[in-house]
Amino acid sequence: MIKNNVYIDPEQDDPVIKEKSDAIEFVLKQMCIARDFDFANVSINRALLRDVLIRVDKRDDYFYIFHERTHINEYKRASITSFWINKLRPFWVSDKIDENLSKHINEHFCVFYLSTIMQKLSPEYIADVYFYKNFADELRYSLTNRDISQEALIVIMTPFYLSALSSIETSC
Amino acid sequence: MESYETEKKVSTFSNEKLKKSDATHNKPLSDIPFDILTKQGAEELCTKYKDVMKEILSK
Repeated sequence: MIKNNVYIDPEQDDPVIKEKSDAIEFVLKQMCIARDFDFANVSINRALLRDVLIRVDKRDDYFYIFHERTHINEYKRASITSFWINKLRPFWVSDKIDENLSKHINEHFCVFYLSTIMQKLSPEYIADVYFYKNFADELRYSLTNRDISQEALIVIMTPFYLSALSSIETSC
Repeated sequence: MESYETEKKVSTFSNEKLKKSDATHNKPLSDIPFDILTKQGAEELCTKYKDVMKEILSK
């Protein structure tokens, strides 16, 4: 990551990784609460989660260097994070405790994680329950069964970003 | 092998048009830090839409 125009190896910056890792763990706990599942039964591979966070930071750095020193917007960050979580699969539940969740906990987390950003920045799409349920189902199915690249995931979430951006710019 | 700084400058120069068009879509929407947003969003989803979330996350 870049701080004051100096590249810092994320491996050497553990407090940042820990803070981000804790935030993801908090969201995972909330997801378990929403599903009435005991968080104590979820295992987290912290080495993989660290890899996820470093890969997201590297992508952020890419935008900073090659795109006018901009940082990625919230939807892009959530999409890239979700892509790597779905690919590296750092969360685990025993099939003896919950067979369905043991297969899909990482996809479910990605849907929930992307939804947290929708809830904060484009809440009207969550409030439209018919729309949201169908969108979330399609997203979950695609993450499980289709080949979704991180660019594809970014494009899927871009309409929500543009909608929120449009609301902000028209209200100014 | 080119230094990191040189490579960065060359690549930035050659991609100038591309970066300008893409940069307009990079503007963050909120002043709140990303991790705080996700935490707040997660809590709100749990309190306001627990039934909906449970249904989606149980499939």
